[in-house]
Amino acid sequence: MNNVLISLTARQLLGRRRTLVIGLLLALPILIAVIYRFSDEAGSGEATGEFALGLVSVMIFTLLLPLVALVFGTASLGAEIDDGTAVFLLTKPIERWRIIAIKIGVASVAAALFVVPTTMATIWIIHESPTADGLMLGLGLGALVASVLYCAAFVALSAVTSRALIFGLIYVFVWETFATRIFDSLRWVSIREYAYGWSDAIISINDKGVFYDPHLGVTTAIVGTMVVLATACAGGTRALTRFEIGERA
Amino acid sequence: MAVNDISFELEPGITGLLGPNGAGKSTLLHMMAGLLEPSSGEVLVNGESSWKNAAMYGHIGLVPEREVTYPFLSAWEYALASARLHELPQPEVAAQTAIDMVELGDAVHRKMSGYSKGMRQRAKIAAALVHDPNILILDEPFNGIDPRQRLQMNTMLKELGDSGRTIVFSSHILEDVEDLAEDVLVLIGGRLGAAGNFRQIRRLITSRPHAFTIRSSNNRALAAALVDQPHIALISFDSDVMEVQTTDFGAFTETIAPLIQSTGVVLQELQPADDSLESVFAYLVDR
Repeated sequence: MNNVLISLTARQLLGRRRTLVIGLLLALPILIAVIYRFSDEAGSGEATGEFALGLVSVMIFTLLLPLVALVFGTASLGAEIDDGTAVFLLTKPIERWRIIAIKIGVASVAAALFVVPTTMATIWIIHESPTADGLMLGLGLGALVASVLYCAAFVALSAVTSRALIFGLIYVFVWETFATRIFDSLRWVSIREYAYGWSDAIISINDKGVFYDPHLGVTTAIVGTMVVLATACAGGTRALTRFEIGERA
Repeated sequence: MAVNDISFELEPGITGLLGPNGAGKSTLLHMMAGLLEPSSGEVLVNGESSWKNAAMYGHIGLVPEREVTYPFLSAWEYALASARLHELPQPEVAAQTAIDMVELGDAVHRKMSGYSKGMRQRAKIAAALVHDPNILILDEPFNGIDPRQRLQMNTMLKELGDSGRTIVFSSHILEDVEDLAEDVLVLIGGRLGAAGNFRQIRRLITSRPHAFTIRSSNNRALAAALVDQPHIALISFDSDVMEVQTTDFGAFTETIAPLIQSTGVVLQELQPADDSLESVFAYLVDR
């Protein structure tokens, strides 16, 4: 049963056009990294590390990673609800938690498969010693955590509302990008901050620049991660259990 | 469409849910299939509530009206996926049995994105039958299928009904229900207009008062001749048009031509005032 659910979700999710667009978007930071590598500023010092952190923070963690997760997270379940194929799954004797867990799992793996290698490749290209100061590993781990958490949140959101894409965009670009920078206390409710918390436990560079600016410790990040995952699974399962076809499909 | 004050029990065999578009047929079927929560009352399937009861799907099959097929799967893969999601012990055998019932021929291994509506409908039925459910719910199964496919589906559903399954299907076309269902539920405006044996309901429909509008060179003279006929219930005038209501459709159509001839008026127009299916259903509800 699980294999069928995984296979149907993955085939639905990884359409040719969707993967092509995402692949092209994720080529941008790699292209910038290549340009930097061939510039005069390239090297292995703190300045290069600072540039790598800045590029990954702005282009991947702030922009591309949430977008990729939003696409996969909302398509994993929301698209099936919108086009009616979800009825095929919902009229089978399958526990609703299992459907949510698999949708989150597949979307997370898909997003991570795109984002984590891009993040690590960007560091690897920019920095002559990419493993120094835990840069590549730290940011790779952060990208993995962020992929899973964003996808979990967006899958659950798409079980709750047909406007998951809009609410997701508002969360990412209004809440995380602006609100958390204006009000420091809001960083406690930010997936990006949880991801930074995981990264920062590994990264040991002294001068982190202005863009990579983690505020939460690893313990808080772990607790936040657990809370997001538990809330997404419970909320998504509850919404799917009470799913009414007339409203959405 | 909301449905109100509806109470009925379904027995094994085929039941047709008849009503015009927007009557609440899909709402009712979705409630039976556990995809809508009744705001009051309850829907029991095999004695258990259908709402929030995923285990129920082990015993029922649903064929929704909307396209719900994965375009990248073939009918065979679709039926097999359904069998595996039901965790059947021999999913390949179950899928093959269901596929054989819907007669998709060589197309069974082609991707469903290239299927006609009728073929997709049959693939959906195969997926719904794969676990051999004792209850089958079909929402407008005859929409968009050609006469040959309709005949095939009729035969298949009759066989399923004869084998002791409870089958309920919706349609807004009287003839679809007439061909197939022994029992009928007539739904209009979210309410149950009539329920029971199809022949009884058909008789009610046939014997309902019929209205005609007539335009002639002398409406008054024609009305004077018509009023003596025992089957004429009502005659009314509206400027140059006369509306005649008859309690006997057959007698009216047999007598109207000789009457017109005998009175010497010139007939300009004679047509049914309202013979739409909606008016037929409305009559059943108001009766």
